[in-house]
Amino acid sequence: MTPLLENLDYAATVVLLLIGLWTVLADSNLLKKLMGLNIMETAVFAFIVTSGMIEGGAAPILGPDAAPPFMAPIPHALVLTGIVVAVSTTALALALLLRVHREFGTLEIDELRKRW
Amino acid sequence: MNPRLAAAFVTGLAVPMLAAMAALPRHGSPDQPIHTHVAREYIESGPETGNLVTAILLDYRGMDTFGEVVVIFVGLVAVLVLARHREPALPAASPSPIVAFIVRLVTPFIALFGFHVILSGLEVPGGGLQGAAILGGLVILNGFVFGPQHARSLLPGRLLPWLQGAGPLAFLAAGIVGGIATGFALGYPTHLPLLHEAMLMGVELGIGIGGALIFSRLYLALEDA
Repeated sequence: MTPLLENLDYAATVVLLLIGLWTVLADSNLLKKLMGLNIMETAVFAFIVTSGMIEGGAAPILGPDAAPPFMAPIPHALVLTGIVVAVSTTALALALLLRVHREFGTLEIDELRKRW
Repeated sequence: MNPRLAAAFVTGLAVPMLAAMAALPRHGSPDQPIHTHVAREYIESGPETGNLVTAILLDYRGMDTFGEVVVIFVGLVAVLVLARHREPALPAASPSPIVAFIVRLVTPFIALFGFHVILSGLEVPGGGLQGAAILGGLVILNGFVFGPQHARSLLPGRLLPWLQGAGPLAFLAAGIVGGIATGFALGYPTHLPLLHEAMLMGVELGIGIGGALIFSRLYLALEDA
């Protein structure tokens, strides 16, 4: 178990991912499924960001006072891009859910199936 | 899916995933592959001062960021198509005087901080998208307290369609200028420090202002629908 304890940060992101996946699978409300999807996204972002971390390292901002080791800056930039894309997909999904709610009056999967 | 079945599936999935996490290089150690290849190369031979994350975002991975600002712009277009305005927005519930006073008081300071974050992103933590999130959040805060009608009045009127696309347009302009100056699209002329700085600032401002307006309009479109 020791390697897993050393990588506790990674293990935490797996738990977060699975909480999101459980919400997507088990909840019958489309809005809550979307929330689960957002939790999964957050878990992936946390995993990528935390992989760039160095114990005792400094933020990758160079200057006269900065001293190595620096955290890896590339995962940060990657996740920043990912977050913005996640915002726009979430907004698009919310707009779609609004349309579904306007057409059918509900976001519950079981009810929607009956009215299909 | 049946919640019990889902719980069993998720628990079953946890075992191989946690095993894979245990097999990864030790978290936080400086000799992981992620630190010994591209990142080290970039820290050693990239820009000598400033915020490396912003430098990567605008320069090393500039094309990727260009794609990203196009994605949020297209996202806004799709949301505006889907969430067409149907009924007039509800009149704002009159907010408590304390909340209204506080929000009115902090609004200019939050706006100033947002622009500060956008413009100082080259040197300290911050940048276009972070500032955009602050400014967009400010518009959404005003929308929650004073109603969407008031939030809309905070946005620029006639220039709005152009400013919404400021991110992609700024990148396009920087790409063309960089192409003329260096021969590569989105190349930054490091031999012309002033032009280099101006291009980075312009792209940051474009991303920041365009992003802030896109976030605000996403909120307003969903609020009205």
